Amino acid sequence: MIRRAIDAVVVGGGSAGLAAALRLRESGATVAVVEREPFLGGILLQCIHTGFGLHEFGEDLTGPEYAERFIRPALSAGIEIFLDATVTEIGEELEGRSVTVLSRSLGVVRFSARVVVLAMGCRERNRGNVAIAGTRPAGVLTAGLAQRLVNIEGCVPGKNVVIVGSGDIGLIMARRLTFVGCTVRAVVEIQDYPSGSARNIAQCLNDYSIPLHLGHVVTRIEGRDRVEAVRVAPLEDGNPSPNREFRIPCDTVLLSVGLIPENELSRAAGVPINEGTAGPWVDADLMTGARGIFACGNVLHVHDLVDFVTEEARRCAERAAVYLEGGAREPMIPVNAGANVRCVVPNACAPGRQNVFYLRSLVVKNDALLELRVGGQKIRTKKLAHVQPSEMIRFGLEPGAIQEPDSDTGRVIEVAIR
Amino acid sequence: MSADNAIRPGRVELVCIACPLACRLTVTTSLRGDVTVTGNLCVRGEAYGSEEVRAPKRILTAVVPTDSAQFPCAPVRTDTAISRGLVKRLLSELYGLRIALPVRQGQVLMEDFDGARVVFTRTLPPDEIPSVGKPGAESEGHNKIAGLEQAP
Amino acid sequence: MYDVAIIGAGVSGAAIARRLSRYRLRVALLERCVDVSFGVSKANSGIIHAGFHHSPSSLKARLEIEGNRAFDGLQAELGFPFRRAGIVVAAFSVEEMKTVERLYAQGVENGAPDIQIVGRDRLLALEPALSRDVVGGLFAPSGGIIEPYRFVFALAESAAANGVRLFTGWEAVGAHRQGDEWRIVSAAGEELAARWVVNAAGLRADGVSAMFGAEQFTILPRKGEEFILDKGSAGPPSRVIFPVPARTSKGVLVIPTVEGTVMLGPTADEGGDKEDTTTTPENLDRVFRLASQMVPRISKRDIITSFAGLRPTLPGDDFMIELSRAAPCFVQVAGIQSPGLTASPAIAERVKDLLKSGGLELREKTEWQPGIPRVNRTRDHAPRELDRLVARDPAYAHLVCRCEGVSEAEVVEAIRKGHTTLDGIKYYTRAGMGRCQGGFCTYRIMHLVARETGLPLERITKHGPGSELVLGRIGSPP
Repeated sequence: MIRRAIDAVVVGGGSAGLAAALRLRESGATVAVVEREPFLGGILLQCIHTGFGLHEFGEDLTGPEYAERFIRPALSAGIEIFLDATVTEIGEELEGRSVTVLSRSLGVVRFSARVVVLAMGCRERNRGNVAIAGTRPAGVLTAGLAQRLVNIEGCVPGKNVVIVGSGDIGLIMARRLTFVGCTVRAVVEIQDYPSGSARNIAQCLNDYSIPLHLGHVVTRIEGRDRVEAVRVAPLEDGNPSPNREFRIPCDTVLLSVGLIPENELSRAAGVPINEGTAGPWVDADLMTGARGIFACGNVLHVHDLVDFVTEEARRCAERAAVYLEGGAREPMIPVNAGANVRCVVPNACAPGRQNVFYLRSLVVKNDALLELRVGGQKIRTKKLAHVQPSEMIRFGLEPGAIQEPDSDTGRVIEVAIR
Repeated sequence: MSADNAIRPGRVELVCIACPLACRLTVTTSLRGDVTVTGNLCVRGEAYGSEEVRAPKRILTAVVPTDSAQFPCAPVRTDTAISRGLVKRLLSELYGLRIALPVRQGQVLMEDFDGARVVFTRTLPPDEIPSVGKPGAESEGHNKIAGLEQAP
Repeated sequence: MYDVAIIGAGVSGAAIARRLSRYRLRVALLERCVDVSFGVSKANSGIIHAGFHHSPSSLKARLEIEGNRAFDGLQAELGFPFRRAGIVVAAFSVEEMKTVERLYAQGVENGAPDIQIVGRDRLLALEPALSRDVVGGLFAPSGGIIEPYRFVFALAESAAANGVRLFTGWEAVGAHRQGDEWRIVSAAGEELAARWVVNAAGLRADGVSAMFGAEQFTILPRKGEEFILDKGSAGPPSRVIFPVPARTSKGVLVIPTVEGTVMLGPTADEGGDKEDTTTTPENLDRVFRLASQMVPRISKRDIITSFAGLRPTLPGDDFMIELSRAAPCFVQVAGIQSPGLTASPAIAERVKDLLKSGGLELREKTEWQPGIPRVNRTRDHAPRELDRLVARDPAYAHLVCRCEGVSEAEVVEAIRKGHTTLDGIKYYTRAGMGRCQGGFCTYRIMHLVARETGLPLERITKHGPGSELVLGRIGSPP
């Protein structure tokens, strides 16, 4: 076993990991990035469509182009990069954390790190999570796996495809599969409204006359060796209506049914997890409940825009750098999700400095109002032209916007949407 | 000029994509070819609705086959939007290629396709990781690397 | 020419093959599917039963008890995952306790070791995950849990290591007697000659029997759906939990698997066809309802996958293990449903005895090897121990399946042993069985199969021809 002492280990070399590593390195810390793929860039590398970087760079970039804006500086910043390497365990040491890494080129490496930044991203919800009945033939795959197979491995996963879920990933893949010669027979969406953007509905479905069945579910998959068809039914009072069920012959079923932050390593390390976001509880420093372990990006909560991932990762790294320098912990006030808010991250506010929060609405609404209350008193509002669950809301709080907590405070900030 | 760009008289319902409000637009084309947009709350919606009917354009992104077993395809994009009706033709041309690696991000694959350049969006193979205190290749011993100690 | 041809390489066929490999016999093990254990055995619940469910007059009961005893020794020889976790039967009413008492008496008569009736407090102490509504039950400490396909793979490997010839993708479609031998014909037109034939063909045992002019019977498939909950899920039990049994089935169980997941099921649905392995939403609801009555903390949120298996049942529901009276040199091993896996070592013993009684000469091999090389698994080693393994082969430190901690070396080993389908690799290594259900490892495994076998990606399958994973390459003609 190789032993190595280092200031910071960043777990994951995707958009969050790279931004965090660069910012930490800027502060003078020694930094190692551990990445399981044989290259840096994470999921961005298979997102070959545009839409990235509008906020961060003011440009409309593809995923790989966005990634390279961080990969290039990372290669010359003196960051130690371990590819084809997997973190298997994060343990406790007297002063800091042990991080065990397995890699073909090194075998077993044990880092002693003062700070760990979790940046592992998400995994996809799959068929088992949504319990689609029927047989288990080849040809049932998640949209992300299909995207990898097409855009990186150069394969065509099928010929006639049904996509479950109208989130952006599913819509993007509807177009991508059409481009590589497949026929997308339908997109099936359980809600009464599409969860992806209007742009994607127009450019991925309407452009190719792909039918979208809103308020429908796939009730079963047929086919013994390879998918032969799916059965689809509309929902009536929340249940599939059996006498309105219809059959769509196809050979491929793509599941675009949601993302789950990949926190098994975090749980095993004793990091307390917020079951609402499926990511770690974090304070205003984006530090988890496990001392010295920070989290940012999709592992913390599922983002829509990579630009926000970058921003969050940078902020996280800034606070991790302060922690490394032994900076004093500032007083913080807990932040909770209130009415119509599904979740808010981070879960605390440090009134003495700039705070940025990301939250998700539970409702679809135009002309909504974001409200911050402390102890029942409204302290800040913001008009939101349109909210929906699939669009993350960002709002900032400047230093001093909230009074510093005093000693007997039980004050809590509540964020609500009305 | 592709058939897709021919303006036909009639009425089309569109959802505007210029901003998240997603106005429902109605775009009417008269017999003379005049285009009117209604339902928009701003000028961007008018511009989008009218262009979608007159000359819809799309930025195309795709992967092109390569000669490499390790990186079997390279992602590319058009740097500006091309006519929507020409997308199929460009795809077909791209899929018929076999690119020789290496390529760099930004490198031009086609100089002019409907006024746009087609460029590679990823450097392949990716740039090498430099050996900053970094463990060497598989064949090198561990103790050659500064700062690394082998546990007894 | 073979002395014995065994048709079917599920748990029965593989166990019989290994048992016969001890003798100077030429044995052929013929499997229709592309890999061993891909039929009935693939969907097994992985329970080593304790011997109280079946009447003492049944063959099942005797072979179950005898088989159960053999597992510690088999584990020592073959190294598959197995643990005597203990079985509890939970009763929720006085009525149910009466059935428990009957099971207890049956177990005592069968010879189930250390079987006990327990009151509520003791039951809850034995299994704290149980609902507080239990009134009492039964505890059978000899019950256990096993990874069924690894057991079958190990049996088959051991048989092959001792000279048994395994034929996969070999489907028997016809047979005729030629003098002293059977000539068996495969779907691909190959012919194989054998003096004796053992029919261990699971769901197709009736068709095979007819093929050889042996007894007429009908195998009726009884479908069982199972649902797997994630490893981290709340409230896993430590014992295998049974309800009080129904007429034809042992009921919906809560099974802590030896790999750390929780399995719920199986259901028991009659009247399906032999190809019907569909899971249904109705059974999902039913299973969760029944299971959470016994173990309240069970939640649908933790489900990661589901599957269905088919039990090959005979009228009367007992095993049919006998020399055919209609066809010469033909042994029937049919209707092997639960407790087939538990009984398999005893089934093998019995078949050996039947062959002997039929006139087959059994001369022991002095060079018979009981063990097979240990399979090294990265996840079983603490980081310090891993060094030695990795020094031998760095691919042990290259994780392919993050969720289950499976290394490239293990996947390559599985491929080199002939498991070249995604399912085969999955059953052998567990790669693809975890939380992400293959989302991140599928393409890596495909590349390893391509590298090791030379197959192009379009020819790599999930479980054999017809189940190809990708249909083409970009840029190739359709």
